[in-house]
Amino acid sequence: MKKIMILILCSLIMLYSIPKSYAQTNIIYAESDYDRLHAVIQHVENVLKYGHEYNEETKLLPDAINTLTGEPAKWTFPNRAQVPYANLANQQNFFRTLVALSNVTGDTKYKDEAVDILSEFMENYQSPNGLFEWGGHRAINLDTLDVQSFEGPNGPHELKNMMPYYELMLEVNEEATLKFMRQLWTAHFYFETTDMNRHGSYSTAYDVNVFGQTIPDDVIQMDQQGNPIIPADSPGLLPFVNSATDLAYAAFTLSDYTFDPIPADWAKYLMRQYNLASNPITGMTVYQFKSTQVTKTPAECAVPSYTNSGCGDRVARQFRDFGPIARESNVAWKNTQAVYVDNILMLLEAADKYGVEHFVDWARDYIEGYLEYAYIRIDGRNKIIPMFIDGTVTYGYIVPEVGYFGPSKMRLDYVDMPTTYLLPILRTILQTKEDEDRIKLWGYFRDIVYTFGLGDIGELGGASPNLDLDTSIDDPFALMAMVELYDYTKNESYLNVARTIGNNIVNEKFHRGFFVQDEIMLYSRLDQPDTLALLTLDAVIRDIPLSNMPFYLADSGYIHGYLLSDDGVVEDRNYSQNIIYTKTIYD
Amino acid sequence: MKKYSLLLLILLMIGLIGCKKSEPTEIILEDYACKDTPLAPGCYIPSDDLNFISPIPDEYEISETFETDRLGQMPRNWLLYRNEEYATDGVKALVVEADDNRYVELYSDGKKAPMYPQSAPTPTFIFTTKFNLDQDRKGVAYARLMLPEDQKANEISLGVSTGAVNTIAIVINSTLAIQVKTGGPFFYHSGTGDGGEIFTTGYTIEKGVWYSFKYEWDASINQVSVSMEVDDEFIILHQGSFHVSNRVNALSDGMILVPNVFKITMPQNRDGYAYIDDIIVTRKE
Repeated sequence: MKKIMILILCSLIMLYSIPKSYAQTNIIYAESDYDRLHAVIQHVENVLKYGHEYNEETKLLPDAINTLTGEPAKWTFPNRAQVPYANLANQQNFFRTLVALSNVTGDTKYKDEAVDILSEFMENYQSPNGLFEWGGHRAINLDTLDVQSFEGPNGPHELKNMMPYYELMLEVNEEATLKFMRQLWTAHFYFETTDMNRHGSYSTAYDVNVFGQTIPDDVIQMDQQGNPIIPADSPGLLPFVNSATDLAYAAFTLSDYTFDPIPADWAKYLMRQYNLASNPITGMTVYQFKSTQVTKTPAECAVPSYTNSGCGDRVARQFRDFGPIARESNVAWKNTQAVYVDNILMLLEAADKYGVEHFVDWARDYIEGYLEYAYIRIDGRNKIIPMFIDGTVTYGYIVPEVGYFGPSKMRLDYVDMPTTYLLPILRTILQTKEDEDRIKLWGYFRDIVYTFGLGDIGELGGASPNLDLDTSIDDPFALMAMVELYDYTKNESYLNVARTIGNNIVNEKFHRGFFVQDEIMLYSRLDQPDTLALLTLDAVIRDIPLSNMPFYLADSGYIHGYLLSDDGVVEDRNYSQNIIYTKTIYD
Repeated sequence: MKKYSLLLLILLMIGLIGCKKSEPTEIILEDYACKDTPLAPGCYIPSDDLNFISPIPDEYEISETFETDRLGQMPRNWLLYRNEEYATDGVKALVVEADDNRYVELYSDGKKAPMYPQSAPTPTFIFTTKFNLDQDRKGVAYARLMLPEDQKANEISLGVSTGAVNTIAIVINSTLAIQVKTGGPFFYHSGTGDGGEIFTTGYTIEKGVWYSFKYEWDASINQVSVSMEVDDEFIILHQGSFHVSNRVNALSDGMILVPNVFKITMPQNRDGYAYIDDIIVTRKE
């Protein structure tokens, strides 16, 4: 009895004598923390208010809102017809924001909004073959509530790194989501020939047994020197990695949800082709693993400005000075966001959630190779050297003639490394098991973080950083990186820098009741990542596990099609990002 | 011994508890009051309504006589299309003067064209100015044209357009015959482009002579027309309905979209000069 008494007393003494900060996470939720959350709530409430106000017959929201008038963003066709559009593939970060906001406020009304919108969409806008009416070339016309094509009367299905919020979609309408994930493969992947196309047809019949075939041999074979042979026989079907990323993500989610491993096997097969096509020396990977065959006439292809893929490999045409390495697959200065950011984030997600552990090694090979050869710091800025994936530098090259990659006389120069690279690099490090495999990437990460103005994260592991707590960076990716580093190290320095970045984001980007790219920018996009990043910060301050929060995967939504150019008098073919979301309040 | 240990522990406990209670200057850090009630009325303040700015632009007419534009320069209210592929002087539109009258000399080398739409006969020379009669949905435009006799004359079209889509234009081809074109080109539905309709008029022009044209449109009665001035009177070259389809000059429900651009074009693969003057767009009574 006495022994028990002594034990109890000793325990009580320890409890009283140990400082609270060691006993539990004790982050104070400050007024400035609430100010950031308040801005996010105002933004969301305004998006819902003005978005729903335009057409009260639907719950669908526009992709972006004019922050002066509250009107939806509109696509202007060459005949001046203006179409307000709801493209739910481009609203995935907003749905994640709504769920995240419910998580941190404890009020389900925001998630309920997301559920209502998705319910209406999935019930009314799923093609009979299973594809949703969304993506790069289709949306819903908010005036008529009809399907609007932007690429001919029957625009194809196209997803490029949009990585839908499947967890919520499955919760809202399981049958429709499963049907979509299966049909995504039927419409985009040609099982007979192993061709993959970024464009999928809405006429392709639904195939419930889509993954029923035996997985074939690899498309990519090696030559005698051990270099990958990139086939040039694709009949106009270009297997862009940004579309493959979406196919793979759907298949992994499908396998995880149905406990059927076959879709995941196909996803591994597809992603392996990109891995095999990677450069064996540098480790840099490819944007596509096939080129197209020539199907157009010599007369058509004699005109350099005719960039149809039916004239064969477009890089081989425009950059022929560089010899055999000049292939579309091997370019490492365009579409790098798709290859080294979105693609890697999906690989890491698959590794983390679905146990595809070798994807972490692939991710590390790709990004280490890219940083080793293409990363450079110039004038205190993170830059990328333009090159082919074998390391052949194209910096300074003056393009002799117009083509798919730009006008003639264009000089290839260093380009700024975007902050989006922070997340794939950090997540690769955090998911790499052995310290010895982390050292190289950590070194690059340390330099890049420092050069972005965030201070020094210190030696491997980041336990003793010397961060710039007054950083001026106002970037959601830097914010998410600091939050994830805090979550990993529990060192409050990261949290304090994250708070500074969060405050900067609100100060610099929250205007007229909306988050915008910059004070003068006209439109607030629903897919912007700032609000989700701010809610991620709010969650960790509240000690909500990050695993309970919607996860950032991509910010790649767009519409591509025919439109009236900015001058208002000529027809153009362009992206919403280039034409609509570049407009300022002075335009 | 055990009793002493127990006593010591009890004293230590009392001491610790007592010490903590007696700290007079402790700063108590608490969560902000709205942490757990972020949406409560005392916490969340909805933003003010947006100051409404009308999305309907003001209407305006144009009167381009070029008399106040500077000689040797491009007229200030006009846009001449060029891209990176165009030669420095591949296209030109410069104000010139003769007999106290200023007008515009147009030149095109016919070598390059806009990149889009592809596989389409896009013109090299695209010279435009804008107006807005969107609320009236009707209007009148006037234009004067002369093809030179002492320089190489080019083929040319001039008329009113709805964005990039032709509404009604006259087209002077290499034989100097006057044609009228309604609708097109519009390649939004790529591969099935609606090229518009061409009407022959039976008239030809002479080089070195100025000709005046008059264009009228009225969406409320679905009528367009173009006339040419002959002996101080405008004679009708073509009169008919808008070229309306789901793709040209209309919304998908068939509603006519009205012109807002005066456009002059000269084709690819042909070079030469033309002259214009007195481009006027005004309301239709």
